[in-house]
Amino acid sequence: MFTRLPIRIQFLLIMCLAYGVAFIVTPQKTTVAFGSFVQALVQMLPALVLVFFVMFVGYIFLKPEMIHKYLGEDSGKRGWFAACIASIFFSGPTYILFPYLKELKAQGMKNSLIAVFLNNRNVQPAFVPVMIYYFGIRFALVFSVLVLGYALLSGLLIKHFVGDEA
Amino acid sequence: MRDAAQRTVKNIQTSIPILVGILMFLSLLELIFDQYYTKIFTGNWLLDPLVGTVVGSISVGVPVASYVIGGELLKQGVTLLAVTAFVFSWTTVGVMLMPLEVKSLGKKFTFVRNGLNFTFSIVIAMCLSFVFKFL
Repeated sequence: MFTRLPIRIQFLLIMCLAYGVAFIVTPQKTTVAFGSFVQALVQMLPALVLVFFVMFVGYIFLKPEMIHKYLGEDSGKRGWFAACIASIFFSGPTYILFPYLKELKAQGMKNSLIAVFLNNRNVQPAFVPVMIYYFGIRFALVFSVLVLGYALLSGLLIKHFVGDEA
Repeated sequence: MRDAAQRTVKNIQTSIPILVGILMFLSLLELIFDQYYTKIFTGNWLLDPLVGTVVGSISVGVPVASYVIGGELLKQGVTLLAVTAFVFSWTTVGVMLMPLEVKSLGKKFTFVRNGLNFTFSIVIAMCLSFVFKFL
């Protein structure tokens, strides 16, 4: 019966079971961990709402022809530039992006550009002040250049190893 | 409009159980490895980027969180080599997110992308340290 459930539900049930076991072994610490989980969930909700709203708006206005044009098979150099810019301006956690990228892929976004988008997410204007505060300007500059360079390289490597089919 | 709403709801139904499961797992991980970050980084410049990458790979969250943790680790004496690998892999390697990534983008894409990022996390940490010697 368990194996007939969707993987996402199986995963959730396994985590609930793990929590149950942890609670039996160490109830006090597990209660603290549960508080931390609830706090993280609550903190994540506004970002999730925003992402699903953007997704909804995207479904209304973003047409498959546009995806094909800027990030699809014939996007050329413009597609690489578009993927870099898009990743720079998205500051949410990666996991809320996957369902959206799945949809974009179904509409023609190339694997190489998905890789560029996912791997360039350390270079974001909103985070630069924090990076400079902790690591200094020198680190922020060198690190950003390396991340951007690798993001583009990873696109090429993904194209080579996985292919670009949608 | 109705079609857009239906597609959005379908995405929410698919994503939410996995997201909740991931957060539950991370909070349990915190319970098991209380303050484990500072204990794992030993200062060995050969092992540190590898350990940094492994720890960053099993962590998840917005990039800014990795800067805060990385900055605190630096203050505690952890090498820049390790912290760079940790910060880089935090965003680019997602071991915990693999079920969601496989479901969304396919098995081959997920394993190749994460494998490459894991390897290059160490390479980039070494490159940065190398560049810093001459700056």
